[in-house]
Amino acid sequence: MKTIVFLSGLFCVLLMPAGLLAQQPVVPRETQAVSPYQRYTTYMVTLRYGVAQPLGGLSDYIDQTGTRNFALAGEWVRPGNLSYGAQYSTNSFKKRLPRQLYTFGDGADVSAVQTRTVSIQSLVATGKYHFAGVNARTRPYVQVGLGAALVDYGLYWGNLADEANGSTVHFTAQIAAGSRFLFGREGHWGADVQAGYQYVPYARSGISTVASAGASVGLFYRWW
Amino acid sequence: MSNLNHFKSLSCRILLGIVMAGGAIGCGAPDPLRDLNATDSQVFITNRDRAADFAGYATFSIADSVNVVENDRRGYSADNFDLSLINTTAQAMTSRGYTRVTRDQKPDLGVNITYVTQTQTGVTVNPGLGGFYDPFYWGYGGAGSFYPAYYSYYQVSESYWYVELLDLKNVAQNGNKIKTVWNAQIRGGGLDRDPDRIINAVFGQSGYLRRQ
Repeated sequence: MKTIVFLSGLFCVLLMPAGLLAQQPVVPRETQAVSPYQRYTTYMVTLRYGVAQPLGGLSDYIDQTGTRNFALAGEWVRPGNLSYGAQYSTNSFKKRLPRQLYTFGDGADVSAVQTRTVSIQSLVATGKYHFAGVNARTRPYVQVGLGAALVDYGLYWGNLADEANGSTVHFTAQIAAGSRFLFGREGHWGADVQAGYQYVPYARSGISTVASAGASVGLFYRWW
Repeated sequence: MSNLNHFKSLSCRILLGIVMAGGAIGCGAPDPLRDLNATDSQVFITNRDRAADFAGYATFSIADSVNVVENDRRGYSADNFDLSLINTTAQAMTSRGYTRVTRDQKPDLGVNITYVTQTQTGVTVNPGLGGFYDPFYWGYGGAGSFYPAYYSYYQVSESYWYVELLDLKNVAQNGNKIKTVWNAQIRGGGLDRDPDRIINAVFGQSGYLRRQ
Protein backbone atom coordinates (compact mmCIF):
# COMPACT_ATOMS: atom_id res chain seq x y z
CA MET A 1 0.00 0.00 0.00
CA LYS A 2 2.86 2.32 0.89
CA THR A 3 4.38 1.68 -2.51
CA ILE A 4 1.16 2.66 -4.28
CA VAL A 5 0.89 5.92 -2.35
CA PHE A 6 4.54 6.67 -3.03
CA LEU A 7 4.27 5.95 -6.73
CA SER A 8 1.10 8.01 -7.07
CA GLY A 9 2.76 10.93 -5.28
CA LEU A 10 5.82 10.74 -7.48
CA PHE A 11 3.62 10.54 -10.54
CA CYS A 12 1.85 13.79 -9.61
CA VAL A 13 5.06 15.61 -8.71
CA LEU A 14 6.67 14.65 -12.00
CA LEU A 15 3.68 15.72 -14.00
CA MET A 16 3.21 19.17 -12.52
CA PRO A 17 6.14 20.82 -14.25
CA ALA A 18 5.29 18.91 -17.41
CA GLY A 19 1.96 20.66 -17.63
CA LEU A 20 3.51 24.04 -16.92
CA LEU A 21 6.45 23.69 -19.27
CA ALA A 22 4.77 22.04 -22.25
CA GLN A 23 5.07 24.37 -25.17
CA GLN A 24 1.74 25.40 -26.55
CA PRO A 25 1.64 25.11 -30.35
CA VAL A 26 0.58 28.24 -32.16
CA VAL A 27 -2.89 27.45 -33.39
CA PRO A 28 -4.16 29.51 -36.33
CA ARG A 29 -7.42 31.30 -35.49
CA GLU A 30 -9.43 29.50 -38.18
CA THR A 31 -8.58 26.02 -36.81
CA GLN A 32 -8.97 26.70 -33.09
CA ALA A 33 -12.21 24.79 -32.95
CA VAL A 34 -10.38 21.51 -33.59
CA SER A 35 -8.84 19.89 -30.50
CA PRO A 36 -5.03 19.71 -30.46
CA TYR A 37 -5.38 16.00 -29.64
CA GLN A 38 -6.97 15.59 -33.05
CA ARG A 39 -4.31 17.61 -34.83
CA TYR A 40 -0.98 16.62 -33.26
CA THR A 41 0.80 13.66 -31.80
CA THR A 42 0.24 14.12 -28.08
CA TYR A 43 1.64 12.55 -24.94
CA MET A 44 0.20 10.26 -22.32
CA VAL A 45 1.51 8.52 -19.21
CA THR A 46 -0.37 5.80 -17.40
CA LEU A 47 0.27 4.28 -13.99
CA ARG A 48 -1.37 0.94 -13.40
CA TYR A 49 -1.84 -1.49 -10.53
CA GLY A 50 -3.10 -5.02 -10.93
CA VAL A 51 -3.29 -8.65 -9.97
CA ALA A 52 -2.06 -11.61 -12.00
CA GLN A 53 -2.46 -15.35 -12.03
CA PRO A 54 0.52 -17.56 -12.93
CA LEU A 55 0.01 -19.80 -15.95
CA GLY A 56 1.94 -22.53 -17.75
CA GLY A 57 5.16 -23.75 -16.19
CA LEU A 58 5.16 -20.95 -13.65
CA SER A 59 1.92 -22.22 -12.13
CA ASP A 60 3.63 -25.54 -11.30
CA TYR A 61 6.10 -23.63 -9.15
CA ILE A 62 3.80 -20.93 -7.76
CA ASP A 63 0.03 -21.19 -8.11
CA GLN A 64 -0.83 -18.20 -5.96
CA THR A 65 -2.24 -14.97 -7.43
CA GLY A 66 0.28 -12.16 -7.44
CA THR A 67 -0.97 -8.92 -5.94
CA ARG A 68 2.10 -6.75 -6.40
CA ASN A 69 1.97 -5.75 -10.03
CA PHE A 70 2.68 -2.25 -11.26
CA ALA A 71 3.13 -0.74 -14.68
CA LEU A 72 4.16 2.67 -15.91
CA ALA A 73 3.65 3.48 -19.57
CA GLY A 74 4.52 6.48 -21.70
CA GLU A 75 2.91 6.92 -25.10
CA TRP A 76 2.86 9.10 -28.13
CA VAL A 77 -0.78 9.28 -29.17
CA ARG A 78 -1.42 9.83 -32.85
CA PRO A 79 -4.50 11.82 -33.90
CA GLY A 80 -5.95 8.71 -35.56
CA ASN A 81 -6.33 5.28 -34.01
CA LEU A 82 -2.73 4.43 -33.15
CA SER A 83 -0.39 5.12 -30.30
CA TYR A 84 3.08 3.81 -29.49
CA GLY A 85 5.44 4.02 -26.57
CA ALA A 86 7.29 2.17 -23.85
CA GLN A 87 6.11 0.38 -20.74
CA TYR A 88 7.94 -0.69 -17.62
CA SER A 89 6.15 -3.28 -15.51
CA THR A 90 6.92 -5.38 -12.48
CA ASN A 91 5.10 -8.57 -11.50
CA SER A 92 5.83 -10.46 -8.30
CA PHE A 93 4.71 -13.94 -7.29
CA LYS A 94 5.35 -15.65 -4.00
CA LYS A 95 4.30 -18.87 -2.33
CA ARG A 96 5.13 -20.26 1.09
CA LEU A 97 4.82 -24.00 1.62
CA PRO A 98 4.35 -25.42 5.13
CA ARG A 99 7.16 -27.50 6.61
CA GLN A 100 7.76 -30.68 4.63
CA LEU A 101 10.42 -33.34 4.39
CA TYR A 102 12.20 -33.38 1.04
CA THR A 103 14.02 -36.63 0.30
CA PHE A 104 16.92 -36.71 -2.11
CA GLY A 105 18.16 -39.84 -3.82
CA ASP A 106 21.62 -39.80 -2.31
CA GLY A 107 20.51 -40.32 1.29
CA ALA A 108 19.85 -36.70 2.16
CA ASP A 109 16.64 -35.54 3.82
CA VAL A 110 15.80 -31.90 4.27
CA SER A 111 12.98 -30.63 6.45
CA ALA A 112 12.12 -27.01 5.73
CA VAL A 113 9.51 -24.36 5.14
CA GLN A 114 9.94 -23.41 1.48
CA THR A 115 9.47 -19.92 0.16
CA ARG A 116 9.22 -19.62 -3.61
CA THR A 117 9.41 -16.32 -5.44
CA VAL A 118 9.46 -15.21 -9.06
CA SER A 119 9.53 -11.58 -10.04
CA ILE A 120 9.52 -10.23 -13.56
CA GLN A 121 10.56 -6.73 -14.50
CA SER A 122 10.00 -5.95 -18.12
CA LEU A 123 10.61 -3.07 -20.46
CA VAL A 124 8.71 -3.32 -23.71
CA ALA A 125 7.97 -1.22 -26.74
CA THR A 126 4.21 -0.96 -27.12
CA GLY A 127 1.78 -0.35 -29.94
CA LYS A 128 -1.92 0.28 -29.49
CA TYR A 129 -4.88 0.33 -31.80
CA HIS A 130 -7.92 2.24 -30.55
CA PHE A 131 -11.50 1.62 -31.59
CA ALA A 132 -12.72 5.18 -31.00
CA GLY A 133 -11.57 8.73 -31.62
CA VAL A 134 -8.86 10.39 -29.63
CA ASN A 135 -11.29 12.48 -27.61
CA ALA A 136 -13.93 9.80 -27.09
CA ARG A 137 -14.92 9.47 -23.43
CA THR A 138 -14.66 5.67 -23.71
CA ARG A 139 -11.84 4.50 -25.92
CA PRO A 140 -11.36 0.70 -26.16
CA TYR A 141 -8.05 -0.60 -27.45
CA VAL A 142 -5.86 -3.61 -28.07
CA GLN A 143 -2.16 -3.51 -27.31
CA VAL A 144 0.95 -5.52 -28.10
CA GLY A 145 4.31 -5.21 -26.41
CA LEU A 146 7.71 -6.71 -27.24
CA GLY A 147 10.86 -6.32 -25.21
CA ALA A 148 13.09 -7.71 -22.50
CA ALA A 149 12.27 -9.16 -19.09
CA LEU A 150 14.51 -9.57 -16.07
CA VAL A 151 13.27 -12.72 -14.33
CA ASP A 152 14.39 -13.19 -10.74
CA TYR A 153 14.02 -16.76 -9.47
CA GLY A 154 14.02 -17.41 -5.74
CA LEU A 155 13.87 -20.61 -3.71
CA TYR A 156 14.45 -20.47 0.03
CA TRP A 157 14.74 -23.40 2.42
CA GLY A 158 13.88 -21.76 5.71
CA ASN A 159 16.13 -18.73 5.65
CA LEU A 160 18.70 -20.33 3.36
CA ALA A 161 18.87 -19.29 -0.26
CA ASP A 162 19.14 -22.06 -2.84
CA GLU A 163 22.22 -21.91 -5.03
CA ALA A 164 20.02 -21.74 -8.15
CA ASN A 165 18.70 -18.30 -7.16
CA GLY A 166 19.41 -15.47 -9.51
CA SER A 167 18.28 -13.15 -12.28
CA THR A 168 18.40 -13.67 -16.00
CA VAL A 169 17.26 -11.59 -18.96
CA HIS A 170 14.80 -13.00 -21.48
CA PHE A 171 12.64 -11.96 -24.38
CA THR A 172 9.04 -11.16 -23.49
CA ALA A 173 5.80 -10.63 -25.40
CA GLN A 174 2.66 -9.06 -24.00
CA ILE A 175 -0.83 -8.66 -25.34
CA ALA A 176 -3.62 -6.71 -23.73
CA ALA A 177 -7.09 -5.35 -24.31
CA GLY A 178 -8.71 -2.57 -22.39
CA SER A 179 -10.31 0.76 -22.43
CA ARG A 180 -9.52 4.21 -21.20
CA PHE A 181 -12.15 6.54 -19.82
CA LEU A 182 -11.60 10.27 -20.09
CA PHE A 183 -12.84 12.20 -17.06
CA GLY A 184 -13.66 15.34 -19.10
CA ARG A 185 -14.28 15.71 -22.82
CA GLU A 186 -11.12 17.68 -23.54
CA GLY A 187 -9.51 16.84 -20.21
CA HIS A 188 -6.07 15.68 -19.23
CA TRP A 189 -6.99 12.97 -16.76
CA GLY A 190 -8.69 9.63 -17.08
CA ALA A 191 -8.92 6.03 -15.93
CA ASP A 192 -7.65 2.93 -17.64
CA VAL A 193 -8.85 -0.67 -17.29
CA GLN A 194 -6.91 -3.49 -18.88
CA ALA A 195 -6.67 -7.28 -19.08
CA GLY A 196 -3.48 -8.77 -20.38
CA TYR A 197 -1.25 -11.76 -20.88
CA GLN A 198 2.51 -11.89 -20.52
CA TYR A 199 4.76 -14.60 -21.89
CA VAL A 200 8.44 -15.20 -21.15
CA PRO A 201 10.23 -18.26 -22.57
CA TYR A 202 12.21 -19.14 -19.46
CA ALA A 203 13.23 -22.84 -19.18
CA ARG A 204 15.40 -22.68 -16.05
CA SER A 205 15.31 -24.26 -12.60
CA GLY A 206 12.56 -26.66 -13.59
CA ILE A 207 10.21 -23.93 -14.83
CA SER A 208 9.38 -24.29 -18.51
CA THR A 209 7.71 -20.93 -19.16
CA VAL A 210 6.90 -17.86 -17.12
CA ALA A 211 3.44 -16.73 -18.17
CA SER A 212 0.64 -14.92 -16.43
CA ALA A 213 -2.73 -13.39 -17.09
CA GLY A 214 -3.71 -10.29 -15.20
CA ALA A 215 -6.11 -7.43 -14.81
CA SER A 216 -5.24 -3.90 -13.85
CA VAL A 217 -6.69 -0.48 -13.26
CA GLY A 218 -4.81 2.73 -13.83
CA LEU A 219 -4.80 6.46 -13.98
CA PHE A 220 -3.54 8.37 -16.99
CA TYR A 221 -2.57 11.91 -17.77
CA ARG A 222 -2.34 13.27 -21.30
CA TRP A 223 -1.01 16.54 -22.57
CA TRP A 224 0.19 18.29 -25.70
CA MET B 1 6.21 18.75 -36.66
CA SER B 2 8.95 16.40 -37.92
CA ASN B 3 9.60 13.17 -36.09
CA LEU B 4 13.11 14.26 -35.13
CA ASN B 5 11.92 17.43 -33.46
CA HIS B 6 9.20 15.40 -31.90
CA PHE B 7 11.69 13.15 -30.07
CA LYS B 8 13.81 16.12 -29.00
CA SER B 9 10.92 17.95 -27.42
CA LEU B 10 10.69 18.61 -23.70
CA SER B 11 7.51 16.58 -23.36
CA CYS B 12 9.17 13.64 -25.00
CA ARG B 13 12.06 13.75 -22.56
CA ILE B 14 9.67 14.03 -19.64
CA LEU B 15 7.75 11.02 -20.93
CA LEU B 16 10.89 8.88 -21.14
CA GLY B 17 12.11 10.19 -17.78
CA ILE B 18 8.93 9.11 -16.05
CA VAL B 19 9.09 5.57 -17.42
CA MET B 20 12.76 5.23 -16.43
CA ALA B 21 12.08 6.61 -12.95
CA GLY B 22 9.32 4.05 -12.59
CA GLY B 23 11.80 1.33 -13.51
CA ALA B 24 14.28 2.50 -10.89
CA ILE B 25 11.63 2.52 -8.17
CA GLY B 26 10.35 -0.90 -9.15
CA CYS B 27 13.77 -2.50 -8.62
CA GLY B 28 13.47 -2.41 -4.83
CA ALA B 29 11.64 -5.70 -4.21
CA PRO B 30 10.75 -6.53 -0.59
CA ASP B 31 12.60 -9.25 1.30
CA PRO B 32 10.59 -12.45 0.69
CA LEU B 33 11.61 -13.80 4.11
CA ARG B 34 10.69 -10.83 6.25
CA ASP B 35 7.54 -12.61 7.47
CA LEU B 36 9.35 -15.85 8.29
CA ASN B 37 9.52 -16.54 12.04
CA ALA B 38 12.52 -18.14 13.73
CA THR B 39 10.95 -21.60 14.00
CA ASP B 40 9.93 -21.63 10.35
CA SER B 41 13.39 -20.43 9.33
CA GLN B 42 14.96 -23.61 10.74
CA VAL B 43 16.21 -26.20 8.29
CA PHE B 44 17.03 -29.75 9.31
CA ILE B 45 19.34 -31.52 6.90
CA THR B 46 20.42 -35.12 7.40
CA ASN B 47 22.80 -37.17 5.28
CA ARG B 48 23.58 -40.84 5.65
CA ASP B 49 26.01 -43.35 4.25
CA ARG B 50 23.69 -45.54 2.20
CA ALA B 51 26.07 -48.47 2.60
CA ALA B 52 26.00 -48.32 6.41
CA ASP B 53 24.09 -50.97 8.33
CA PHE B 54 22.68 -48.97 11.23
CA ALA B 55 21.25 -52.11 12.83
CA GLY B 56 24.75 -53.52 13.02
CA TYR B 57 25.88 -51.08 15.70
CA ALA B 58 25.11 -51.78 19.33
CA THR B 59 26.79 -49.18 21.50
CA PHE B 60 27.59 -45.52 21.33
CA SER B 61 29.42 -42.93 23.29
CA ILE B 62 28.86 -39.22 23.20
CA ALA B 63 31.44 -36.52 23.71
CA ASP B 64 31.12 -34.68 27.02
CA SER B 65 31.42 -31.26 25.44
CA VAL B 66 30.49 -29.51 22.25
CA ASN B 67 33.06 -28.58 19.64
CA VAL B 68 33.01 -24.95 18.70
CA VAL B 69 34.36 -24.13 15.27
CA GLU B 70 34.53 -20.56 14.12
CA ASN B 71 36.13 -20.37 10.73
CA ASP B 72 39.64 -21.69 11.42
CA ARG B 73 39.48 -21.50 15.21
CA ARG B 74 38.40 -24.44 17.31
CA GLY B 75 37.52 -24.93 20.94
CA TYR B 76 35.21 -26.78 23.30
CA SER B 77 32.19 -25.65 25.22
CA ALA B 78 29.97 -27.23 27.87
CA ASP B 79 27.46 -24.66 29.04
CA ASN B 80 23.94 -25.56 30.14
CA PHE B 81 22.50 -25.45 26.65
CA ASP B 82 25.36 -27.55 25.28
CA LEU B 83 24.83 -30.15 28.01
CA SER B 84 21.09 -30.32 27.35
CA LEU B 85 21.81 -30.89 23.64
CA ILE B 86 24.23 -33.69 24.56
CA ASN B 87 21.68 -35.28 26.91
CA THR B 88 18.83 -35.04 24.42
CA THR B 89 20.97 -36.59 21.73
CA ALA B 90 21.99 -39.42 24.02
CA GLN B 91 18.34 -40.05 24.89
CA ALA B 92 17.43 -40.13 21.21
CA MET B 93 20.13 -42.72 20.55
CA THR B 94 19.05 -44.79 23.54
CA SER B 95 15.43 -44.72 22.40
CA ARG B 96 16.61 -46.13 19.04
CA GLY B 97 17.99 -49.18 20.76
CA TYR B 98 21.63 -48.23 21.14
CA THR B 99 23.38 -48.64 24.48
CA ARG B 100 25.37 -45.77 25.88
CA VAL B 101 28.85 -46.68 27.07
CA THR B 102 31.92 -44.72 28.01
CA ARG B 103 34.41 -44.07 25.32
CA ASP B 104 37.00 -46.43 26.79
CA GLN B 105 34.51 -49.31 26.40
CA LYS B 106 35.12 -49.39 22.65
CA PRO B 107 31.78 -47.99 21.44
CA ASP B 108 30.58 -48.89 17.95
CA LEU B 109 29.47 -45.33 17.27
CA GLY B 110 30.86 -42.02 18.40
CA VAL B 111 28.45 -39.09 18.61
CA ASN B 112 29.95 -35.68 18.08
CA ILE B 113 28.18 -32.33 18.30
CA THR B 114 29.70 -29.18 16.85
CA TYR B 115 28.61 -25.56 16.78
CA VAL B 116 29.87 -24.08 13.55
CA THR B 117 30.09 -20.41 12.74
CA GLN B 118 30.98 -19.54 9.19
CA THR B 119 31.26 -15.90 8.37
CA GLN B 120 32.26 -16.25 4.74
CA THR B 121 29.47 -15.72 2.30
CA GLY B 122 28.97 -17.66 -0.87
CA VAL B 123 31.15 -20.53 0.31
CA THR B 124 29.85 -24.04 -0.09
CA VAL B 125 30.60 -25.96 3.07
CA ASN B 126 31.19 -29.43 1.64
CA PRO B 127 33.37 -31.27 0.89
CA GLY B 128 35.32 -29.32 3.50
CA LEU B 129 32.62 -29.96 6.10
CA GLY B 130 33.05 -32.65 8.69
CA GLY B 131 35.96 -34.24 10.43
CA PHE B 132 35.50 -31.93 13.39
CA TYR B 133 36.03 -34.80 15.78
CA ASP B 134 39.36 -35.53 17.46
CA PRO B 135 40.62 -39.08 16.62
CA PHE B 136 42.65 -39.11 19.84
CA TYR B 137 39.51 -38.50 21.88
CA TRP B 138 37.91 -41.59 20.38
CA GLY B 139 41.00 -43.69 21.00
CA TYR B 140 42.08 -43.93 17.37
CA GLY B 141 44.90 -41.46 17.44
CA GLY B 142 46.60 -42.79 14.36
CA ALA B 143 43.49 -42.92 12.24
CA GLY B 144 42.90 -40.61 9.35
CA SER B 145 39.54 -39.23 8.29
CA PHE B 146 37.36 -40.73 5.63
CA TYR B 147 34.66 -38.42 4.55
CA PRO B 148 32.11 -39.57 1.97
CA ALA B 149 30.83 -37.14 -0.64
CA TYR B 150 28.12 -35.63 1.52
CA TYR B 151 27.25 -32.24 0.33
CA SER B 152 25.31 -29.23 1.35
CA TYR B 153 22.92 -27.48 -0.99
CA TYR B 154 23.30 -24.06 0.47
CA GLN B 155 25.56 -21.12 0.79
CA VAL B 156 26.81 -20.29 4.23
CA SER B 157 27.08 -17.18 6.34
CA GLU B 158 25.67 -18.35 9.62
CA SER B 159 25.97 -20.40 12.78
CA TYR B 160 24.53 -23.86 12.98
CA TRP B 161 24.61 -27.13 14.85
CA TYR B 162 26.30 -30.11 13.30
CA VAL B 163 25.78 -33.59 14.71
CA GLU B 164 27.67 -36.58 13.34
CA LEU B 165 27.83 -40.30 13.99
CA LEU B 166 31.27 -41.84 13.62
CA ASP B 167 31.78 -45.48 12.75
CA LEU B 168 34.29 -46.63 15.37
CA LYS B 169 33.39 -50.29 14.89
CA ASN B 170 34.85 -50.62 11.42
CA VAL B 171 37.90 -48.37 11.56
CA ALA B 172 40.22 -51.20 10.51
CA GLN B 173 37.89 -52.36 7.72
CA ASN B 174 37.67 -48.81 6.44
CA GLY B 175 41.41 -48.61 5.91
CA ASN B 176 42.16 -47.26 9.39
CA LYS B 177 39.81 -44.35 8.84
CA ILE B 178 36.94 -43.07 10.91
CA LYS B 179 33.93 -42.85 8.66
CA THR B 180 31.06 -40.47 9.30
CA VAL B 181 27.98 -42.60 8.64
CA TRP B 182 25.35 -39.98 9.48
CA ASN B 183 25.30 -36.27 9.96
CA ALA B 184 22.74 -33.62 10.71
CA GLN B 185 22.88 -29.91 10.12
CA ILE B 186 20.48 -27.79 12.13
CA ARG B 187 20.33 -24.35 10.60
CA GLY B 188 18.25 -21.22 10.66
CA GLY B 189 17.18 -18.90 13.46
CA GLY B 190 16.42 -19.51 17.12
CA LEU B 191 19.00 -22.27 17.56
CA ASP B 192 19.80 -21.20 21.12
CA ARG B 193 16.59 -22.56 22.60
CA ASP B 194 14.40 -25.64 22.63
CA PRO B 195 17.15 -28.32 22.32
CA ASP B 196 14.64 -31.19 22.57
CA ARG B 197 12.70 -30.02 19.53
CA ILE B 198 15.69 -29.48 17.27
CA ILE B 199 17.41 -32.77 18.18
CA ASN B 200 14.19 -34.77 17.91
CA ALA B 201 13.55 -33.19 14.51
CA VAL B 202 16.75 -34.57 12.99
CA PHE B 203 16.34 -37.99 14.58
CA GLY B 204 12.65 -38.01 13.68
CA GLN B 205 13.38 -37.65 9.98
CA SER B 206 15.99 -40.45 10.10
CA GLY B 207 13.81 -43.51 10.59
CA TYR B 208 16.57 -45.84 9.36
CA LEU B 209 18.72 -44.88 12.36
CA ARG B 210 17.70 -47.75 14.61
CA ARG B 211 19.16 -50.93 16.11
CA GLN B 212 16.90 -53.82 15.08
